[in-house]
Amino acid sequence: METLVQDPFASKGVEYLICLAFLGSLPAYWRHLNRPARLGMETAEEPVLSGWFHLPARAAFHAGHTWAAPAGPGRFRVGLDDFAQKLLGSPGAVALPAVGSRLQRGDRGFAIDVSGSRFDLPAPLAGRVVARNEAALRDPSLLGDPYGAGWLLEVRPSRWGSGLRSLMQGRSAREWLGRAEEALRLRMSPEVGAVLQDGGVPVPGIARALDEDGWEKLARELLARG
Amino acid sequence: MNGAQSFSEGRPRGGRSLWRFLLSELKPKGPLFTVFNLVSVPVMIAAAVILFVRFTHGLSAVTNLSQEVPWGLWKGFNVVTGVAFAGGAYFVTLLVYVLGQKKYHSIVRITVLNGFLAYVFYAGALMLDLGRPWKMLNVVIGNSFGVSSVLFLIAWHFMLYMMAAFLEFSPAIAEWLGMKRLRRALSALTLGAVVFGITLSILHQSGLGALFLMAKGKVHPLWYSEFLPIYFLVSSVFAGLSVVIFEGTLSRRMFAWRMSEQHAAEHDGIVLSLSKICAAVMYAYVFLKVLDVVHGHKLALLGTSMGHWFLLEVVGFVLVPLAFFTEGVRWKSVAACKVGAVLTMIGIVLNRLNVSIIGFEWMQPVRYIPTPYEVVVTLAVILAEIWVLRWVIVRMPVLNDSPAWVREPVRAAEVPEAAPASV
Repeated sequence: METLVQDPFASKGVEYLICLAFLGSLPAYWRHLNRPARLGMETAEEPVLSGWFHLPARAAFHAGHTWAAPAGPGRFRVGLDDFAQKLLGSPGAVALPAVGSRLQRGDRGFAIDVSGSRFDLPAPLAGRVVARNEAALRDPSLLGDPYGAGWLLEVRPSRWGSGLRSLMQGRSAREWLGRAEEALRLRMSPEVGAVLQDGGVPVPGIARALDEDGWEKLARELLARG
Repeated sequence: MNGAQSFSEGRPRGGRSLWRFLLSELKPKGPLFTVFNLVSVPVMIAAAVILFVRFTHGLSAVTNLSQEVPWGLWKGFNVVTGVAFAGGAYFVTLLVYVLGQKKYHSIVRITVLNGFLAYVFYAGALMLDLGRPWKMLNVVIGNSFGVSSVLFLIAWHFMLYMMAAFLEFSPAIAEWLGMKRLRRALSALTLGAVVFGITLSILHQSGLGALFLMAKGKVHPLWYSEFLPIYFLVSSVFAGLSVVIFEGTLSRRMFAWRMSEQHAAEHDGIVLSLSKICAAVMYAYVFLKVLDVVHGHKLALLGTSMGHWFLLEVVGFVLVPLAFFTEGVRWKSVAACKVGAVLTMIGIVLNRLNVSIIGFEWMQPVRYIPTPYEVVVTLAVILAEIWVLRWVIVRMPVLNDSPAWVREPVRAAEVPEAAPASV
């Protein structure tokens, strides 16, 4: 070990070089750290949404326009998403499965009735229904607040860890909703498009506003494409 | 959305008396038969039995500690590593209250709670290791202060820091109990507690390193350095922040239902910002390590087996996570940053164990290897901390917003508007 303490000046020159290397490279490293990486021609920025549809950070989405969000230990609330709500408009009635019944992910979870047309929506999670929103059953207009008072079911997932992992959240949810929004834009008639481009947001029942006669077919098509 | 609303609604404690409220809060709030419970309860019961034997038959009955190896896993992992992991609390409060970086405000409570519990449990685990734990009181009551020992300083730092961290967290307890006046009084103390806590943390994070300066001949030269206090302090920054990133990921998965919408929305941005801080600090740390190897003329030692072990620590668990953090920040990849955080945590465990156990008395013919009993107790300490953390998160406003009855002026006092200039 004696060699370790011999001649403290023997390595001073190298030490100065290391200090200079640190000070010299720090600005370059800092610039590198702060320079966003490039994905081909684009930067890896977050996809930006127009703000038409609300996308809560805590919720995870099924491509069939239903959401699930944690509501308690091992419990998830599920409901209809803002896109479907605004597309279909205020429902006349809601049909929910009974407490205790089992749901399969992607199969029919609940149904809503809009102007006599029934729309089946998929369950975002597999599990057992532990609670229903009776208030929404009595007053379907609550679905106008789809992530708040308009929740529909509380589900206990059937498998441990089967929670939200297979659903879309964060960046993937924003990208997916961006695509759904784009599909909607393409279907817009010039009149409605002009209104929206002025900075307005879609009113509930946008499918009917776009096509009074064929709204049901249009709504089913847009819901089915995810 | 939902979940977090129960606290915001209605009167404090739902109009119930304090005792009825406390009784109701003692009841379990979730399913009992979860995987975590089924694994952790047997480990904690086994640890209780082992500790009973330890206190009735002495340390030698359950540990491989001896006069030659007086420090083992309980100190090396729980105390030395646990304190580094708690470093996130002082650094995040520094960012929010002193540097005015309010974007981190949503993680202050969970970080302070985590830091406080880490000290209570990990530093508290010291009691298991002391031959006569009741003598711990002597440093307080003055029977024999023991001022000539660095441990005197560390004991006081720990105790005072635990009090400061408790004060920092206490407004959340007052909100849970629905005590408006108490909350206001405690909130007024927050800034003072934060400044006191940051000062103490900086002193004792480095103080733990200083402890090993007294064992110059015992610590392997690759890990021994006059700069150990600085290494311990600098590495506590990225150790603590990596724990904050890791813990945030777990909270998002396990306690998402308690998380406020704002907290959930800010999560990814906070992970990227904390990763950037980790990357910058690690960059400086790597140069400090290289400087020490050259300054101490230790290059030749890198060719030995201990040298390879040292290189594994520095390259595998400092340089590699540094690359993950750097590229994670650049590509805005939260997943890469999380990998960096986990690798950093492993690296800190390695580093602290290398200084305190593996590289300590490395020349002795008999090596210390912990008994399975020591491992079980170490695990039980971690699991017990998680149990308490979970109990608090589920009941108190930690991840979710403060209740509606907390008036704005009081909240404003909690987050000082113009702190940077005055501190």
